[in-house]
Amino acid sequence: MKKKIFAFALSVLFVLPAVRLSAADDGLTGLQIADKIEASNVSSKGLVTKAVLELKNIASQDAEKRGCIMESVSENGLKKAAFRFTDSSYRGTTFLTLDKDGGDKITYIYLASVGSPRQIEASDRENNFVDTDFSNEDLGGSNTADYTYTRLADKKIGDMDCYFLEKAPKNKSSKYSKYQMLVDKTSFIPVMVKAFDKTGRLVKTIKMDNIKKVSDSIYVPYGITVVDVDKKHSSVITVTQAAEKQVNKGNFNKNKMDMKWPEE
Amino acid sequence: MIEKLLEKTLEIFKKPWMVIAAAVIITLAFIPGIFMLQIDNDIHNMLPKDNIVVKNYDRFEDIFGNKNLIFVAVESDNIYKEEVFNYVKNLQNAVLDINKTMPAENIAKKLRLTAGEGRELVNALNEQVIMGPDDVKALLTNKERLTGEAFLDAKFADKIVSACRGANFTNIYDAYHPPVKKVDSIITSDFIKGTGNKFSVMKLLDDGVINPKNIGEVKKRVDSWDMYKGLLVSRDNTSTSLLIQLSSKDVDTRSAVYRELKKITAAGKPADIKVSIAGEPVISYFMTESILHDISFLMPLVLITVSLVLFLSFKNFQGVFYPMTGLAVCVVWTYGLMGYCGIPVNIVSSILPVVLTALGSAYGIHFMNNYFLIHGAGKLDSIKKNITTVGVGIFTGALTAMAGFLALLSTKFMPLRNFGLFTGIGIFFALVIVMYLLPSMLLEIKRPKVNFPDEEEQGGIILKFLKWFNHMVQYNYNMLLVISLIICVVSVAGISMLKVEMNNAEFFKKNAPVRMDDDRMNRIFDGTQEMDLVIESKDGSSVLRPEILAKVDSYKKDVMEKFPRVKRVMGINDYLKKMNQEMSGGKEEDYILPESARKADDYLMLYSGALDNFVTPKHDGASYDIVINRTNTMSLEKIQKYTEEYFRDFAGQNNIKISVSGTGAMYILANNLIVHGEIEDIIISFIAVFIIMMLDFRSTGLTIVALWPIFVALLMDFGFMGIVGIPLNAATAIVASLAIGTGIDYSIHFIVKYRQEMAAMGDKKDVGEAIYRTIMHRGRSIMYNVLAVMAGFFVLLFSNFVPLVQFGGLVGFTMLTTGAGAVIMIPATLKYLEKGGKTLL
Repeated sequence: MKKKIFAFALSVLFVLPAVRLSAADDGLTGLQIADKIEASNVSSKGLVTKAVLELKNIASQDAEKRGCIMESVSENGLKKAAFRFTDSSYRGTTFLTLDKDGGDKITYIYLASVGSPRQIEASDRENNFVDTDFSNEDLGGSNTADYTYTRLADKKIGDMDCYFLEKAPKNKSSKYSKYQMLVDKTSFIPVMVKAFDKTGRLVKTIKMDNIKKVSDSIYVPYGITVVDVDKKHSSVITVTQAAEKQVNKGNFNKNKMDMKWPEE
Repeated sequence: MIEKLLEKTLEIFKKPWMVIAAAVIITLAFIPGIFMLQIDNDIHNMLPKDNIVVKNYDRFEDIFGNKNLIFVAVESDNIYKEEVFNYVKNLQNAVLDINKTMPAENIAKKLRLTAGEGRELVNALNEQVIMGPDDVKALLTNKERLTGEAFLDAKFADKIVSACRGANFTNIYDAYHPPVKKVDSIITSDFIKGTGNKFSVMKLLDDGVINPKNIGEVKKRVDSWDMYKGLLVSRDNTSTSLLIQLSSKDVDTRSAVYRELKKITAAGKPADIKVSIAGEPVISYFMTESILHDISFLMPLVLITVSLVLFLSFKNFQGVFYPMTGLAVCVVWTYGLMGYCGIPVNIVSSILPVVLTALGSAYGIHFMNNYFLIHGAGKLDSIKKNITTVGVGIFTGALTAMAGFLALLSTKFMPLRNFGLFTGIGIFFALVIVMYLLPSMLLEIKRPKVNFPDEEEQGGIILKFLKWFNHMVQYNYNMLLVISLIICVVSVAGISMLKVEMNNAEFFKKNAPVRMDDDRMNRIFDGTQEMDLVIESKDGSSVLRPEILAKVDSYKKDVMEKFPRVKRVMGINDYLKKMNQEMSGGKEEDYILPESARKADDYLMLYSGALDNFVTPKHDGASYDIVINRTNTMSLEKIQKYTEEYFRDFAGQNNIKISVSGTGAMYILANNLIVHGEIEDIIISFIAVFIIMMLDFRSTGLTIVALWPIFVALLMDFGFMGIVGIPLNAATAIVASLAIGTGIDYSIHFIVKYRQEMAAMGDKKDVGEAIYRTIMHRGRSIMYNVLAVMAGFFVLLFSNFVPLVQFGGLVGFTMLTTGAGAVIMIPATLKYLEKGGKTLL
């Protein structure tokens, strides 16, 4: 009997921590990984990405393509990101996200006909960006502090080692009950995100693939696919060009959102 | 010809036990089919799928969602108090919780799994991308995926794969899909709030927190925008509604949601709060319940009633037991076949057992009456004689009845078409059973010692009637014919007043709870009926152009003025005006439409609430809800025509397409199909019956004489309906088929006997004497027949449904008029023609 108790004690002391360590052998918690995702793939110089956005009705296969540009820059550890449509009737429509001190974010949308930029309320962050399947959060408006993170056992997707996180919104009126994320350990890009509604059903997926290294520390997914399961609709961003280069800081000024970008 | 045909079948009686054994086997085979029957009263499923109205309804439902809402009214002396808000909040949460529990229950039911297995499977499905039936099928039929991706154990995976063999994956997907799409209430409805020169979208109740301050704010918000009054809050502030949008099209699931809703609304309801539930899905549920009640109550009642009539007619056990056994077998075969064919039971086909019992009893009466009248012959000889004499009349009668019902196949209204088909088949079954199973049973038992006197010797009140009929016919035939002509003229005038009404809510009696709830809801709020005005761009451009929006605004004003029952036309215009107002600082004068399509497009980009019920993502289509305080379908058709006319020229000039859709449009279509089907049905029935009788009688004159009482009876029916205000609907539309197909039975029996009497007279033909003998020898069985069928149909007077009550009364009345026509009008006409020197032989 004593031997059994001793064996049990040993297992508590050594085996269980070993199991725990195997899931988190780098010591990172879920929140820390989320912070790393936020801090990764940003440049103080600037990152410019040109892409084509394809909106597709999965049932009818009707599709529509639009050109877009995404720019981001990091200043004093605070990230600024902008997204702009460059053609179609949406030309000029711009989305801007600015990190604020203290971890919060402020987001604006600019519409040519309305004129001045409009701030997007925090309560609107889960809503879709215009007629795409991307939510305002997906385009950079996500605030790490709005969620709790749980790190689950790591997964390997093909050759890619991934962190496996589950995040749950702190706000009870959120549309979603939880998200599951697979994050590439090398690039810190979430290669797969699944969003579940309040009934526990998978209602949205975001897949990032064709990840390329565009500079020493910056990776860019050349393919981003968002699928809205309920609406049977998808939005696919296919990156055509991505480069770390100097960007005009004025592009991130909410009062100059009507300004034409040199990259257009 | 028919006699010779029947003679050839007499060989079958050499081995009657084989006929009985075959009948037992067939009956046992049909019983499982009965358990496969489903009740479906969804108006959508009653209409042809290839009709443009149905296609549009389906297409618009895919684009704008299902607008068949369940309305839950919460009444109190004043809704702006914490007690009401707490109740509404709990109610709303509980309704949304249905989405968590019901898919597992539904899946378990569909796949015959335990509750726990149902939950496990739904959890597995929840982890997958499930966009439609194909995704469900791909997962549930693949054991490797079930074990590898969904992590189910191998044994359970095997069970699922096995349960899914031959399954309908559209049904399974529908069962899995959360049944409740959206719930709008005074707590969670979107409110557009302006701040400076921008607007934001929030809920009517701030943060869902219930306190006096927030409730006061809700009242201000509700009063500030007329979108809510009459829809979410009654104009006197004593009621508020929850608008529940369902995503499931499955009839069972919708019923299950309603049942759950009943439980939820009762739980924790404060005493001073009153709750009513209404809407099309609720009406559909109650129709299902009432049909079940009708079938379980009326079927035994009709069996008892017809048995009683048979007993009074024959006064012996055999005369009741054998025909009734045959009728029960006939109903099992017919309903079993319907079940196997996947034909649903609805308000029309629910009366099929009553119709078959009533009609089949007539065949049984004629057969047994004649059987008992044959004295001195052996059993087999009696039966053979029976089949070649009265059997001819039964055969011809069944053939004409089948023709009458099968003529309903010309209609495109599915319940009538299916009813016609299966009643026709049922009558064929009844014919086979009466002609072969019934005699086989009689052959296998000892012939009862029945002292059944000749018709003329039976005496009683019926004999007095028959003698009186004969007297009238022989001496007052001219007056009788003049009276029938006067009836025709009055009836035609009545027909001009006939209305058509196919509206599920009107099917219930005024004191039925569902009708009372619906009436209450229509008194408190704007209305529970709706049609949709859908505007689509033909070239893909935005329909939010100022000229289109302005036209809709003027339409809204005009239609509400012209049709006071139209209480609101709700759509994207209301939201754009509010957004424009808030973007311009909230001034009242800025509650106007944006001046450009681009501005409207951009407002919608800024709007973070859900407007997919009103506008397409590309803004190339918009749907407006025409909310109507419940009215009849003919009024709905006037609104539809007015709307189409209003936009006709404008649509052409602006390259847009206008459609009036929604449940209201489907009821209008049902009305039109019933009317057109009715006219075609009557013409086809008459032609078919005319041909059958011509083949039998080989006399155009006799055929016309036989059809004459039916024609008068039909005119009387429709004239009576017009005069007393009974509308033509899915149930009353069948009366014509019954009148032609069944009423002719009496004429046939009368004329067959009349010809036999005339033939027996040889060269000394005397029409008056032949008429006398026919009335005396066939009159009694015709009257028994009329009484049995009338009694059978009068059982429907106890139905829960107004149209079935009307139908039962009308058919009973028709049987009386066609029966009287056979024993009075036919001889009167023959007598009249005799004076003109025509005997029609």
